[in-house]
Formats: sequence, C-alpha cells, structure tokens
Amino acid sequence: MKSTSIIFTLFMFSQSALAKDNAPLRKSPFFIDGIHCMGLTAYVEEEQFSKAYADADMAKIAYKTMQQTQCENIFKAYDVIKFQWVTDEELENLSFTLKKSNKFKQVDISIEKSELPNHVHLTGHFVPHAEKHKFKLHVSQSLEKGGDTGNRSSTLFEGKANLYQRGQANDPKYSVGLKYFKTQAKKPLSADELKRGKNDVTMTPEETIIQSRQSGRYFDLNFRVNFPPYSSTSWLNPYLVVGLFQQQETMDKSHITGNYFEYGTEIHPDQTNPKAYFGLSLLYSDYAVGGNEYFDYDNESQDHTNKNILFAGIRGHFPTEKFSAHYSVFRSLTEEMHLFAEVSALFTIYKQGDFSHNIAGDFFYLRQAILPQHRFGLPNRDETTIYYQGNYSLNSLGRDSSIIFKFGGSEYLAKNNLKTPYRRENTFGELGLQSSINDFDLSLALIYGSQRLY
Amino acid sequence: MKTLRTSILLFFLLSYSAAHALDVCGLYKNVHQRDIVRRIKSGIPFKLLSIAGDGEASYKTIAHIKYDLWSEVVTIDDLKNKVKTVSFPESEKAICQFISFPNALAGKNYHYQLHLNPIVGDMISTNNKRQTQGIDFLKVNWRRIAKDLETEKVLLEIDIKP
Repeated sequence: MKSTSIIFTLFMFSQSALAKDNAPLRKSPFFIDGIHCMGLTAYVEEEQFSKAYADADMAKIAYKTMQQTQCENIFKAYDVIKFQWVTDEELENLSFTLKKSNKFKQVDISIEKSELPNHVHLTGHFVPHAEKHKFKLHVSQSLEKGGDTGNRSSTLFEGKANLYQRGQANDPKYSVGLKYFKTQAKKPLSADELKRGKNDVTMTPEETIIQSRQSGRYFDLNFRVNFPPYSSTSWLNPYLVVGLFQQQETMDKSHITGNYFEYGTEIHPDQTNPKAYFGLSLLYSDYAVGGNEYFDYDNESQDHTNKNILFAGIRGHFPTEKFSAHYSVFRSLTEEMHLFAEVSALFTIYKQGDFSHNIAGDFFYLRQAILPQHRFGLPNRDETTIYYQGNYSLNSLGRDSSIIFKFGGSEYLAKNNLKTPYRRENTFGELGLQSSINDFDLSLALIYGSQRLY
Repeated sequence: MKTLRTSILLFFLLSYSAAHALDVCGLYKNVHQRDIVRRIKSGIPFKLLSIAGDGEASYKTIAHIKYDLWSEVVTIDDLKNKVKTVSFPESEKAICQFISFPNALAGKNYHYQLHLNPIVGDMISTNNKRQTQGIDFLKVNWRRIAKDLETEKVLLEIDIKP
C-alpha cells in the first residue's frame, strides 16, 4: 500500500476517533444507522439463487443476507460503512465518486432521518449496466527492410472476447484471448552470412542462430475468470488465467509447447478511475522445448526438454487523461534466475480539438524469456523504444474512431558475457485505424521498419 | 444643463434596466420541478454551475445547495461570500436568483448553460479565491470551459437574449 494511503487511513481513523469523543464539535455530522440498496436484483436473480436451498424460507433469508452484504460492500469500497459518522461534504463526495466510477448505469444516493437526531439511513438507488459480450480485434502487418540482411513480413493477430461484461468500467465475468503471430523471411540468411554482414559483433551460438533471418509462428490461447464476477461491488478483483502456447521456428525446426496458470488479484485504489489498478500474482509455466539444430542433440529421443517455473510478479495500470502507464515485473521463485519486466508510458503533450500529440516509451528487460510474446529463445536483452504517437479522432466513422500514427526508434541490446554484445538500432513508422462498431472494437495497423522489428 | 440632467436620468434608467438583465427564473422553474426537488430531498449536497457567454464576455456563478432534514431548510451558498437560508417551498425562487446574472448587459445574445455537479470544482474554488483576494488577473472564458466541461448533467442549454 502506498505511504499516502496509510497516512490517509490513519488520518481517517484519528478523525473518527476524535469525532466519537467530541461529537458536539463535529461539523454537520450524520451517524449512519443503516445502509440500504435498491436495484441490485439484476446481479443475482432470486429464483436462481434459491435453487441451492431446499427450504424456501431459508432461501429467502439467505438471499436477503447476500443482497445486504453485497450492498454494504459497494459502500465499503468507497470507505463508507454502517455505524460511522459522516459529514455532508463526505456524502457529497461519495455521491460524486459513485457516479464518476461509471460502474453503474445510474446511481443516486439519499439519506433519510432515523429515530435519533442526526442519525440517518443511507440508501443507494442503483441501475446496473446490462450484461453484454464485447469483442476486440487487432490486426497488424509489418514490413521490414533490412538492407543486406533481407526483407521480412510479419502478421500479428490479437482477439479478445469479454463475456458478460457490465459497462466498460467493470471487469467481465470471463474473457477469452487469442494471439497469433507469423513472421516470414523473404531472403533468409544463414548464421554465417549474418556474422559476415554489417554486424561486426560477437554472438553466443544460440544468438547467432536466433538472429539469423528465421521464419516462424506462435500462438497463445488463454481463458480468464474474474472472481467475484460482480466487480462493481468490490475494490479487489481476484482472477485466474489458464493459457496454452506453442512456438515453431521453421529454419532450425525448434518448437516450444507449454501452458501457464496465473492467479492474482487486482487492487483498485481509486474508485473514480476504475481502470487503474495494481496487482500481485503468481505465474506457473510448464513447457517442453525441442529442436535439432538449436539444441544440437544427437539422439532423437532426447530431442526435448521439460521445464516448469514458478514466478511471482506485480502488475499495474494507471490511465489518466494526460498520462497512462503500465508495468509488470515477474521473477522466478525457482533456483534458476528468470526475470522479465515491462514498463510503458504515454504522455499527452498537446491536444487541440480532435488531434492529440503524445510521446511514449516502452522498456523491456528480459532474462530467460518465458512466454511466446517475449520471443522465446531470444537471448537475454534490454529493449528500449521511444516514439511519437498522434491520434486524430474520426467521429464520423463511429464511436471512439481514430487514426493513429507513430514513428520512432528502438534499441535492442543483447546481455551476455561477450566483449561486444550484439546491438541493433531500428527506426519505424506505423499507421493505424481504430473504431468501435456496436460491441466490437476493431483496430488495424501497418508498420514499416528499417531493421528487424520482431 | 437640461441635457446633462436628461443624460444622468437616462444613464440611471439604463442602469436600472440592466439590473437582473439575465433572469433565468422562468426557464429554471421546470428544471427545479424535474431534477432539483428530488435532489434537495435526497439530503445530499450538490452544486449548480450557471454559465452565460456571448463570445466577448462570459459570466459564471455557482450555487452550492444543502438541505437540513430536521429543520427542513435549504442553504444556498455561492462559495464566495453570499449565503442564504430559506424554507423548502421558497428554494426555487432563491436558487434562480443565485443562478441569474444581474450584471449581464441587456440586448446581447447569450448562450446559457446550467450544469449539475460540474467536475471543475477545484478550479472554480481556486478562481473564486483569486477573485475574493482581488487577484483576478486571469480572465477566464467560462463559455469555452463549458464546452468541454465534464458534468453530471446539463440541466439547461439555451440561447437567450435578455
């Protein structure tokens, strides 16, 4: 927890303690005798809930208790609980924060007099968003012009289905994600040719093979469950991801097949910014690697190696109007050192009408990459990318439609014990289009680079 | 001498006619019944931001409204120096006076907006403080701000000629 949050919590505690001791000194205090909610039946239907109970009266009591807990959890997420003092400023702030969170289609709160003076009942009137399936599709096509190292075209396809999602701010109950990547070398160079080329550097044998112009593909399929499914009632969002992946490189016939499980929790500290979170997670991956040239096995029966690794990691996402940042750091808990970290940030430097100008940067730190999107098998490396991103809104095309163009440069620096590790610089340009049609978010991108992009 | 006297008289007459030049009470009546009564009765304080602009000058005023459930009185505060406490039935008239612009000039065409709980609360408070401290060196174009203003609801938006 952030130190500011701790200080704030201590401050709130001290304030409430002072308030109890010096009640008459409080400025317009209300004591909350009860918290009530209306309109939450959409989350769990009584008929469905009652099926788990043999006795109808028992089911009714259990349903009401469940609803009351759910109701109090909503307010708890906004630091308001039963039997506490609140000022009218705090109630005004609560009303504002609930509305700003966009977790409900409509929300109003009201207070009613209780039996004692200054004692109130707090009631929330909620209209939840309807459950909907939402889909995202992203396709990017890149062309690399590598001079004497040949050309390459690559295609990246990413699809995501968010199932039973209530509005944009709440997490879906389930989501299914698919990533497919294919890269095709036009004039593949052998490892020796590559070494004789412009890259006057030393490489480890693995790097030499990998940096030659291979063709290959990978895919990653994953399924995510968010617990509890009703994220609008909580600031904690535990989740479980189950995924499987496969990577194949055609030239050296290497292949990697595996699966992974991630269990974590996202913590949403700012209810007015529901997309912002930081989280902790455990990632377990189990995979098998094979490939004659790559691993130089003589015996066909030994042509694979199995590994399983447990990682602990942190993730975070912090989007605001003018700045957004995303980070993730995972470190292996097993003896062998594996570490991968990713930090990306985007600053909006100027916005005029439909045009916004941004500066962005990505940094990847990879030691023994583990997932296909980290390009399995590539050597230990640091990758830094800095680019300009311009967004031009095209409202005439539909909701959230825009043209995106990027240009910038990146650096790839191999990390090994050799004297002059392999280093590559790259410049690139990208033209993209994104739009939302009904419940589909579509985006397309064309990328052109001077050197190897993937 | 006679001309001077006539001019002074005319000046005072014009000044008098300019007072309460932008009176929105007639327009506000429906809004009050439709949205505000329920808001007041909920017991949760809220803000109204009233903005009028004609392209050259712009005016804004705020009404922070609180309701006491026990004494059943409504307190209206402009967050500067004007506070008024009235009974619930009198609240409509009192609020509309708070959100009208007595200094607006007659004969001009104003674009008027009434916002419920605008999100520029802090900015408005800072600007109010500046004005109170007499350091209003920064002329704020409220009409432009209103264009991109994030607000809970736009209660009223109309072109009006006082």
